[in-house]
Amino acid sequence: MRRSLSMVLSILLVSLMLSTVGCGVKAVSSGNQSLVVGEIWKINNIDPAMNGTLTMEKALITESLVGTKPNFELEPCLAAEWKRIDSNTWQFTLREDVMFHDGTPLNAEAVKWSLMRAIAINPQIQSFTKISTVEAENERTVVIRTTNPNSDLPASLHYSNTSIIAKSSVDKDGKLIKPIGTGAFKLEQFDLSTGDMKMTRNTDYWGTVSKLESLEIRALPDPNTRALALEKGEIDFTCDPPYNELERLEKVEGLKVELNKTARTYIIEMNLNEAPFNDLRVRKAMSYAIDRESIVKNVLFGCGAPAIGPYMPGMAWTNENLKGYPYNPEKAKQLLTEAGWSDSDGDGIVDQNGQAMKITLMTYPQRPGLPPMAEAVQAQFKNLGIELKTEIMDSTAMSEIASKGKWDMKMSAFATAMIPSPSYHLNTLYYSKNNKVIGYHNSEVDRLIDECMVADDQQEKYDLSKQVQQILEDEEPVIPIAYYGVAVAMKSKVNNFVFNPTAHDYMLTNEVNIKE
Amino acid sequence: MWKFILKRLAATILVVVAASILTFGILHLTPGSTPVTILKYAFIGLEEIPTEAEITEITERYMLNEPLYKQYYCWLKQAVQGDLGDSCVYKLPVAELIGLRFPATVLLAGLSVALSLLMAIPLGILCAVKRNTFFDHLGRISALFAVAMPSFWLAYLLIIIFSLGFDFFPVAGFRGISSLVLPCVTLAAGMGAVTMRMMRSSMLEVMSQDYILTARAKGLYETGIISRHALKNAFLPVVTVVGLQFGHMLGGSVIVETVFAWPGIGKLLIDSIFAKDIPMVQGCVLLMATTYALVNLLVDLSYALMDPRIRYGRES
Amino acid sequence: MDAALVANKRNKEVVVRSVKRDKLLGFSSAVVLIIVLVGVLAPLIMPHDPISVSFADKVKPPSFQYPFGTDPLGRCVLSRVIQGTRTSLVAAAVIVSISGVGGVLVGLISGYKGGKADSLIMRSVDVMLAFPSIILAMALIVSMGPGLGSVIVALTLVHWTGYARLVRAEVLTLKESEFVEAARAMGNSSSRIIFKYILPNVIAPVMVMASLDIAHIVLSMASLSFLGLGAQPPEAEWGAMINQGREFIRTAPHVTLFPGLALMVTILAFSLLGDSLRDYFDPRLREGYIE
Repeated sequence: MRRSLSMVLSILLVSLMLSTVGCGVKAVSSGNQSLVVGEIWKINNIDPAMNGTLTMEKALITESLVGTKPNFELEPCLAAEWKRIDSNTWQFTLREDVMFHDGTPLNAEAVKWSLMRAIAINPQIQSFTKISTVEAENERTVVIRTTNPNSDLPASLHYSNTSIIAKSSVDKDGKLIKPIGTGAFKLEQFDLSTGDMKMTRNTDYWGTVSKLESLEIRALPDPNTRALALEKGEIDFTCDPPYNELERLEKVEGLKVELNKTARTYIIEMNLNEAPFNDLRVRKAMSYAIDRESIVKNVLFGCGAPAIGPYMPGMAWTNENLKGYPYNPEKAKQLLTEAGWSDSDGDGIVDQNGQAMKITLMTYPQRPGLPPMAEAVQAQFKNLGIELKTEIMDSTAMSEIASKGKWDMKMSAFATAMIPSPSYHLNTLYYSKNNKVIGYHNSEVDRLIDECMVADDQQEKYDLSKQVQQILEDEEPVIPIAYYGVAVAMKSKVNNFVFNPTAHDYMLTNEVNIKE
Repeated sequence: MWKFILKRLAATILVVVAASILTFGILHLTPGSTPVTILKYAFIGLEEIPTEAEITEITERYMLNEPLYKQYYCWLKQAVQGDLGDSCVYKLPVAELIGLRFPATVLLAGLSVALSLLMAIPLGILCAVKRNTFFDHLGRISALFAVAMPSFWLAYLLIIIFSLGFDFFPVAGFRGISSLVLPCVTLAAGMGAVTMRMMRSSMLEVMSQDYILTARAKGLYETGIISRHALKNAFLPVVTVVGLQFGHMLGGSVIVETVFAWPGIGKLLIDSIFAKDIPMVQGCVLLMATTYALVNLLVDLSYALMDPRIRYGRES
Repeated sequence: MDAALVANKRNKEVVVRSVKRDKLLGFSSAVVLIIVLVGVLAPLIMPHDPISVSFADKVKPPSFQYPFGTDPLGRCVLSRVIQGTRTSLVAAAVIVSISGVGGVLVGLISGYKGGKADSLIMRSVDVMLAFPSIILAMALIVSMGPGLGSVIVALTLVHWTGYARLVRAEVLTLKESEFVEAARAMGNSSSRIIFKYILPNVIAPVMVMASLDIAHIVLSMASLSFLGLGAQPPEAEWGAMINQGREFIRTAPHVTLFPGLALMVTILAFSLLGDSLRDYFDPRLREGYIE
């Protein structure tokens, strides 16, 4: 009995040991010109229609019809040019020299198939683009019709989930085998269980062929692990290590750290239908009471910037004349007193008609900066005599509570250029019909946004957007807090990396290589 | 004997089916399976505001307007054929993803069980034999601490000491044998301590039985007594504990896999919980319940094999 | 060695064991008492506010002013550990009392009535026990959304099964005992027999189980909070504190160290108390274990 038991045990042990050896160390291709990237998200999907950011901006496998410059202005990419034929019809002319990785040419039929596939898979693409039909007029010309007039169609075709893949990317049942795009790199290998991707360069690339021979992406969603992997030399490039380690990493020999901003803004929305938020003076007082510099320094560890308006500086349509609400506790106190709020019973909390100002701020944990930021705001409001309670909940639960109308404040991090258009973000957040939850009504803002959306001239669009931003500053229906930061950390030998603020997180290019 | 096996098998299947109903019920009466949640988590992004058209599309795609029992029926029909539905986030069959991740968990759990038994059984026997000596006290006190030590905290202590301090092992991930060491030690510590205490007390009890005393009175050598008479009977209760422990190991693997970023089923479960990937959560929970039920079945059977009294005796 | 000697040795052992047992019982109840006192007196003995943020003092190592140092938001870790004691104990008390009372009632009825009700109840207990308990709790939390409240509800729903099983088994033996037979013969009603004759006899094992269960619950709660499913910031809870200290493991390990220590001491104290209570009530019982 005993013998058989120990035998079973030892067999189990030996077989387990063997299986360990089987999945042992994987050799890393160690050519000079190879780059290993530590990706910040889990990689659970490499379908460009779902996770285009990965395939387009990070793995450089796919490209979309329209590109953007670093200031968010549109520029040609796979489409050489486009024009609006009538309010619902657009004509895109494709570049001539583009081949997919499987050797087939990029033509109008391929674009049609790829766009229709993406729309069928991801319902969001339909609501961005409002595409009704895509037709291949001839080899190079694609005609796209929309269900409603959409002057942002080119901008929405920059969105990475619309990036173009060849028909051979899927099997006969329509299931994705692997994305076959037109980009500077071809996907060689993808391991779903670890999320590792291996790419080799596309020597037939229509642009400059990359000096990098291979590109590898490893999913390392834990910030600590990323920092350590970079330090130990397992990866060459990553972003967002733990913010508190930035200072230390910077001093490590052979590493460099860069702080950048992306088109995402931490904001507080308020329930404008209810007191005290329906009083402009109270909103201004609250905005003055927030010490944005301290929040950026202490909560974000310097990764980000104090926010002035909805858009960060440097975007083509950002109104750079805005002053914002710099930290000014005296002015905040004064405005609050003017609005009729003062501490009459001496309990440290301001009140009006016997009602103390007690407010609940909701936020969600998925963006790690939010909960501590909420706690910082709580401490700063306390100095002003406002009692703020923070509630951390799921973001869906938060929008559900808000949609029922019983809420005070919520804090989120909104992407401001999901589609690189000067009206997109304003339209979703401030147009009275689209965001009934915060209850902001300003017919002038509505009119300007409408005009901005239909205008064909880019400069005119930018000007209209800037006018809206000025009104938003005057009325402060939403309190901007900070622009979202990205900390990029890499080996010093990584050459030619230029941060592109249009990126979702970070964007590599065919220019990046390794210093010899 | 066959009757016993069949009966146990039938009971196990019933429990698994009931567990599937329970899981399905819990997970589908939740805010996690509304179209808005699915949209936000799997398609448009957390901060975006879904449109009516998007909501309609998702409701139809995931049959969310059908009554629950119909949804369950459809799911069960497919599940019987090995199709657990598609993950919302991965857009791939749940069964395929689980198949991909399960071996890593089995490897981790199996090695941890082996490690803990390798430590616990000899130590437990030694402590029992050398009862009330310094060695025994030391062993029992360390076991006490190991049981009370939360695994996630132990994991961090090990990381701080062995990965950051001495740079012996990788902090996390699944790269080679060395990355197995810390997760295995973390998982094995608590379980080994429990097994050791069980082994010790079971051994003590057996050793105070009359037949051992008789053997001793007959002048047999102590080692002979232990190996020939005591061990065999002392193992019985330990087998049950090891079976029970396996379930806790599945639960513990969620924590250990999270800390060490181990690409197993526990990590998949916790990721899916946060991604609101309900079909995936359901698949993982069900797999764990099934594995647990099967292990318990095996324990029952091996118990029966080891103890002839059970074969013909009562079934509780 | 003759039989008399053996018996003598055994008796000696029993005496030694009982002295040791009383010492252990005294020690563990003293530690538990201290922990409970810390929890009850938390607002009085905390040196600083456990919630309010002060950036000037962030991630300070332990010092005279902050014996356990400060966390990334400049809060005193000692105060948060003390507040965490309160959180854990209150939650554990709620869970144990509700699931304990519920489980005992179910066990009494199931065991005494027998028949269909019994097999129905026991089958549903079997189904609940088919899940590793923390996994079932997770599934329940998914349906309610993360938060301390959800954790309390989930763990209560999971933990009653243990009491039901235990009590049912006790009732099955007690039912056949002479004094219950006698009570029945005297024409007592079922409910009177259950509550007057049977219940007092199951209290002791239930107390033992509850004490071990508190250790188990404190651990489960901390694990769930650690995974982000339980207490949410700024709430002070040990598991959540360890989770928040994760990113600071290199620059400030004290943020994870102290809450873990508190957690371990608490679990240790309650499981020791459970063990020694078990020995006290029934010295014949084997040395216990917590799951």
